[in-house]
Amino acid sequence: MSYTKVWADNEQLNKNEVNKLKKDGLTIFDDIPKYAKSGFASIPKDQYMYFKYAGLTVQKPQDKGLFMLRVKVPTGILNHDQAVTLAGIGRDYGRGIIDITTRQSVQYHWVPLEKLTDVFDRLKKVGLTTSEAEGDAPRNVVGNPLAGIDPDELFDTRPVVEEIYHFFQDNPDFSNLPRKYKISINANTSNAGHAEINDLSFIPASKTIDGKKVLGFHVKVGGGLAAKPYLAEQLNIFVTLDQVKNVSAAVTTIYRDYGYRKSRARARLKYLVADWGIKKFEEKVLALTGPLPEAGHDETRGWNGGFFFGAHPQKQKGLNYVGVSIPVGRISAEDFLRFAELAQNYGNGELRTVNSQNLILPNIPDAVLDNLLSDELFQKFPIHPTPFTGYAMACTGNEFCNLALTNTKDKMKEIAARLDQEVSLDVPVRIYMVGCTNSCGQRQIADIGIQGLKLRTKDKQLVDAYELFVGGTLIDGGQFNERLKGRIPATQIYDVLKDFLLFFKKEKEKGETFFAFKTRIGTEKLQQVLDTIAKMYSK
Amino acid sequence: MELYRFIATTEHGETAIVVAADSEERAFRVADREIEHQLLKKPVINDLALVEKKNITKNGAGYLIQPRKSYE
Repeated sequence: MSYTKVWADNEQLNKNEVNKLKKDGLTIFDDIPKYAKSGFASIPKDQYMYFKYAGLTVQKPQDKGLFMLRVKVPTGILNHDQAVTLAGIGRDYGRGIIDITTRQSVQYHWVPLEKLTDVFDRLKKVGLTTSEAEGDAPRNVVGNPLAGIDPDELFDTRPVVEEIYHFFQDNPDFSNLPRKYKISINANTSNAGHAEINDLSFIPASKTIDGKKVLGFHVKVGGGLAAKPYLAEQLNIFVTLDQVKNVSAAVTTIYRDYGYRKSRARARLKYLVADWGIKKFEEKVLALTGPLPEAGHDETRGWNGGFFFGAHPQKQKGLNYVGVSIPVGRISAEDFLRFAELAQNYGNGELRTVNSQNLILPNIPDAVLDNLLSDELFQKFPIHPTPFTGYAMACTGNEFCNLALTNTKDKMKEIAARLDQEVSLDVPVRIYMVGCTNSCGQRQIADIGIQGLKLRTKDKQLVDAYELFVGGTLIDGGQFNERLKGRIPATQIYDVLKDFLLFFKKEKEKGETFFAFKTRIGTEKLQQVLDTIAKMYSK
Repeated sequence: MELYRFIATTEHGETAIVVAADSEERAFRVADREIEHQLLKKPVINDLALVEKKNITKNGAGYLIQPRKSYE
């Protein structure tokens, strides 16, 4: 460790902070083999928090010795050996299921304690890690899943992602942050890295310096969703590629040393940015980095929601990428392995994970593209998914999560499949479902967000129910969706949504997105429409 | 034990209710009890929604009760 913990003498540290001063989170890797031998019951409960640093969460019910396990996949790029290894772990220890997360990571459930050392060994052999996939540390670096092959990228971000990932990974200087810390590095011009909802985001930009156009990044800080969402704010700096590490280190050092450690509820970077204001934050950054050029020209031209469906030419002539729909991000280990085999047989073996919880097979030559697409796996996982299923997302839900009040993944899949049968639109509508007030399913940036709750109706029935939120986006700096009044029982949610979307279909202009439609006609009008529909079904 | 946050919708608007209980079912019963006990004239409850729950740890648990923002 080459820094002084300037907060160590603070008398108002929360309990986790006190523990982290006594023992660094990364040391849990020394303990896990011992616990694996002595059994789950031998783990003191006050040690559970450290498992997070190994990408592990004790899974409910908490006495069974099972873990949720998360693997980092920087900017979503997996080579063939890595993809095969991930499939094998899912098959052997994850009850055959793999989840692709909204941070391009891969997640398993029900992994037994005694199998963890084998999982770690297998991952290490192929250069993957679970380390700091959770915990108060830099999480998976998200970015453009098409990095290096994208016709719509300003430049290839793979080298800079690699540099930043290795700089922070298991770096003891940054393994004790106040809370989770999310970095996004993206040069896709459609904001594939979801800049506004990350703590530190690098976004594509250019600037004329000494008469020459230089490509680089602008920087946003302090974004995050959770129960108190906050859109990242932009620093007035232009960052050349050779300065990304310098700026990343500066922002993260400021967070480490000034971030709040009294209450974990107020520990994310957004609280510091909100308190200081962006000008003061910028001054602190520049004090550490030295002078940087002022911001130049922003090269972001919209937002694609992180969706890359279909077969498309890469920037390399004669090669294509194929974007596949994995409904709500859940896939069997067997099917994941089949995708890995297809990628090897037809492409260069790479698979890429997307923050919309989908997959991409890159580097497919023109000559074999049709052969690849004729594989029956694409019947199950289409490249042109039906619009609702393809653009639906869901958090884990009450199946595995202690905080969720309702099921989400199954319910979302069911609703989307039925909407696909009965509502046809000329634009996709992104519907994201969450089971609580947090935002693991990124509900706040959905076209239509659905949030689960438990409801006791007027006639004393206790039912699962949902609230609707409309008009979220990350276009032009972002906007959170707005709640419509009224709670819809689970038995009616499909019918209500269907009629609501049929109203959208009837009233929308050609090609008009749901966000543009909501902006044009207003939340009040949508509230009236929902009230009318809900009243009809509640009779 | 967990700490539950409810919103009761009545003809007069919404009321927040916070309950500590060991199950969702029991939490609903406690919410009912508090409504009956705390209000002299019992309002007509259109619905009672459980919107959030938190584990009560040794450090406690709590909610800030304030008018809901449009995005909440």
